[in-house]
Amino acid sequence: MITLTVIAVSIAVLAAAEYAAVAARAAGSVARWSARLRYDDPERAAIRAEELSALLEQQAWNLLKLATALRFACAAVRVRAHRTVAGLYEQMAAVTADGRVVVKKMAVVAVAGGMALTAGVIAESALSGTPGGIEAGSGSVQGAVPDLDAALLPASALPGFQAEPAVTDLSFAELAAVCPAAGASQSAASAEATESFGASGSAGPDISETLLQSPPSAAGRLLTQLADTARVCEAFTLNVDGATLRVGMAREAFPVYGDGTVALRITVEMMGNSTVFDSDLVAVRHGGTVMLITATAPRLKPGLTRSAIAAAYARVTVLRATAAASRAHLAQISQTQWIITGVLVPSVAEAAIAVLASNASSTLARTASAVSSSQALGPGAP
Amino acid sequence: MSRPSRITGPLLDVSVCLLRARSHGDLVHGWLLMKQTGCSGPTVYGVLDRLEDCGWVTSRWEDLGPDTSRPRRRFYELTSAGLTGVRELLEHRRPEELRDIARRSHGGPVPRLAPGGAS
Repeated sequence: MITLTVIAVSIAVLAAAEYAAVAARAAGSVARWSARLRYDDPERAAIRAEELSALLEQQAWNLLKLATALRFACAAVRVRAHRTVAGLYEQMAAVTADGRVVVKKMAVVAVAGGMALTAGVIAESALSGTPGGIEAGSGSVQGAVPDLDAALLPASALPGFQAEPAVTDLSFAELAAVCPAAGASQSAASAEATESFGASGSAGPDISETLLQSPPSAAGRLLTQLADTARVCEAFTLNVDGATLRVGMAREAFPVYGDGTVALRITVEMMGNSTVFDSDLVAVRHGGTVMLITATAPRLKPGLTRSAIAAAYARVTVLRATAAASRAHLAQISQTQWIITGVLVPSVAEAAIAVLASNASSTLARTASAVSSSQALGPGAP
Repeated sequence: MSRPSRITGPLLDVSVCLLRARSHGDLVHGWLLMKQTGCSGPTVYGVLDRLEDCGWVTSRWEDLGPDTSRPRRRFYELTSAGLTGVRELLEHRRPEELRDIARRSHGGPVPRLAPGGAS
């Protein structure tokens, strides 16, 4: 009985709507709204709105007009949703671009802080940290530096120095002959890059930077082995080109960077000549990335090695953070593809996209803030 | 010459109708295309959007007398570029329908298109 009543009332309402031409007026409104929703071009929207009104006139029944108009409305919502998703990609691209600007600004701050990072080169490296370049040169190591060569310090980061061929006077290989522990410190890294610098127009000091990429556990073992080297090979002699060198090695107090830092002071004395060379060897681990800095000079200037390590650490940190942020953006875009499926009311879709874009922007801001803080605090910052 | 971004079944249906109308000198509007193709209104207008965007179709308003109160209809027709493009498209995708159109309009078989679309 109730069912029959409901059916009867529905029929009566529909009949009234048909008779009173309410449905026809509603159809016209829905059709015009559909055209405005579907087309961004106002001229085309106006044309289609009038055209759809003419099309509805072809329908004999008012309720059919409304049904036709609703069909156009559904299609318009679907088109709008697709267009909004496309807009999301543009917004994400814009956010990523802003992030790169942040990285450039951070590089300028680093220069002001005495770390002498080059904004242009950092920005170039950041660009190579885009989604397509994350895996390049780093295998599948999560959080790895995207491009080790790009992460090396440029000569401009070390004022008064210029790039030179690698210094090989006191290599691990030669050390290994008399101190096996030093030989054991050589890592089977998955990727490696080296750059050497010499002071312009003088006999020293010389600085060398080596970046090693390997799984974090292997990188941790490298630092442990390096510390063992100083303990086992405290003093020994070495023959190089007919000269006898007396070598002393000791752990050196050094600020802690990243996940671990080992610093050695190596003193080399040429027998019968009383010439003494000091060499600092500092290794810093950041995840699976190990930065090795050596500085050598007859009288090593205090603070030189620390400045070089600070600059190298800041550079690697920026590149790792940029790569991580790019990964986060990719993940958010992927999530969005799942969220915005089917037909959504445009306002809901746009709201969801605004939230996602805001989240992406916040991620980059937090990344920038964290990197900036680590540079401002210097040693010991995570 | 640019082509529509996507070649779909409804696009081919609408193209056949537009080519047939042109060969007969008829004018077609959205409602007529819906009836002839059996496609829904949104689908037909989506196709017309794509054809207009690539320059294959042009449109103009219906001329109504001052005493007419109903909304104007909009007529669609193939441009010369669209004529070439549609013929080339149908030659590859629906050759039988292309020949049928030619038979009905000329009373004889349509010559095959040379490679590159020249007829």
